[in-house]
Amino acid sequence: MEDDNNLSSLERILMILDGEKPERVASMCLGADYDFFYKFMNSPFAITEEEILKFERDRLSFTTPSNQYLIAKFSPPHILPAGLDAKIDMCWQTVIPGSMIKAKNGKGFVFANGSVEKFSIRENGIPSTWYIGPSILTELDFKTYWESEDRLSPQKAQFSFLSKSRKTMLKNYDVVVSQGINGPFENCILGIGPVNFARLARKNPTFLKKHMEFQWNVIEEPSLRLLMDTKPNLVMCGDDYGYNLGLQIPLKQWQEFVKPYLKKYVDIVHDKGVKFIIHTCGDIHELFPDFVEIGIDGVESLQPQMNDLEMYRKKYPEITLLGTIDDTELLKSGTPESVRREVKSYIAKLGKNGGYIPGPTNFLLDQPPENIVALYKAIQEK
Amino acid sequence: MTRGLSNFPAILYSGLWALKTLGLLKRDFSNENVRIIILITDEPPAFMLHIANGDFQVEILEDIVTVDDLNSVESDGYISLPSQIFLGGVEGVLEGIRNKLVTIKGEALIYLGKIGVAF
Repeated sequence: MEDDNNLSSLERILMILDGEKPERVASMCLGADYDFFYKFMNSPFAITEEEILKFERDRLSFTTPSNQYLIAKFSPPHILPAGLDAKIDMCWQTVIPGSMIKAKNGKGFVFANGSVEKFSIRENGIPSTWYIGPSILTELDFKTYWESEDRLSPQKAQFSFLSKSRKTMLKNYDVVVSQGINGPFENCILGIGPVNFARLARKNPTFLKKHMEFQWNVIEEPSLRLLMDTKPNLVMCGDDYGYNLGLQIPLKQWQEFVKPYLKKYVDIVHDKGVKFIIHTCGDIHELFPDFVEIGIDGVESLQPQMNDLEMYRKKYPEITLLGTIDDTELLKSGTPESVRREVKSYIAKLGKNGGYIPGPTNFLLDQPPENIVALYKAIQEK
Repeated sequence: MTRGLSNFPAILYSGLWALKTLGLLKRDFSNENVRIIILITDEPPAFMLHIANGDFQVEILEDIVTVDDLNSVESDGYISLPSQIFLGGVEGVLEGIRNKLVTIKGEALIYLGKIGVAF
């Protein structure tokens, strides 16, 4: 289901990732947290009862953060009669493989990569989930973890729904669902913690590599194989390497411990003829030459305050830039008009020759819905 | 009663919250006044989901810590199960029922299924 006389979202996005320039810039959205969903449903843009019936018939999902109801609501009227005409071309859906168990101390739940997350309800009654720390801290923890293969391994059923979900969004709403899993750095560092990572990288790199190899063999490779069996249109994996002032670990450590596995991710995806996008927050300028070398097709997030986007555009034309629209200041505190101006300015600077898919730099959190609608309307303007 | 909710009660709360936010609680439970108790046997105490008039509450039942306590509180049904069965999703619960690890009374499972569409 495409625009009246334009390309479909999938054609548009694949053209961009192939280095060609489509008829207009494409747009993307990672998803939305509970706060944004609450604001949105209490705004003039709220999803109507009639639309909910349609979304139910189409078996869309409203789980957080990959809330397909929200994404579909932005559709143009020829797709959804009371849609917001602020089309989102691409969204994201991540599978967390393996089984979750309750944490030993009763505070939260442990995921297959060893990270502990807490589900809680805030004072205002809005739910939240948050990473609260690693669970693999001592030598005994590592030993126990390595003996838990059965619980950590992905199940086919965890991936089998992806194909239907992706096809429905594409066929009925012209939205590409990029799908993926966590990257190798996040799987490791969220499970063992940054202190353990830094200590092992310096003092016992063999041990750290053994752990990463275990996660690759038990979680990551089988998950990627199951994902690719569903024939995704596009793969995007999340692996936050940066913080505001640079990389979380020294470049040499990233190249020694992370890059070999990230390359395996890219190779498995490319072997099936599918493009690979990495979502990574923070200042990641040091990594671009390595991204080019291992064949990454697109880099997503790219907060403009800490990344020289015009330099990336000029120096690394082979990599598509995704995201780039500041979600913490512009989209949070700006006005619809200032958002529109900034978006047009970014498109002029970064998207003149393709290679650019703008969207908020992270999941939608507490931004005013009118700014988000203004963002997507501006991207569509010719 | 939402202050301080975390872990299992918070998971159920988030499902009910999403249904309420979309107006589905009002649409699908409009004529119902339902009280369901859930006991995660290795994570007591139990908690009660109370759905009425398109709204809901999740209440911690401090005194309900074992299966034997479940009948001491008035409800429309209850379910008692270990955490790993609960976290195994629909398939986990069905397997738990087959293996007699789940105790159910009333229509607790039907209501949990209705909330489950939010996940």
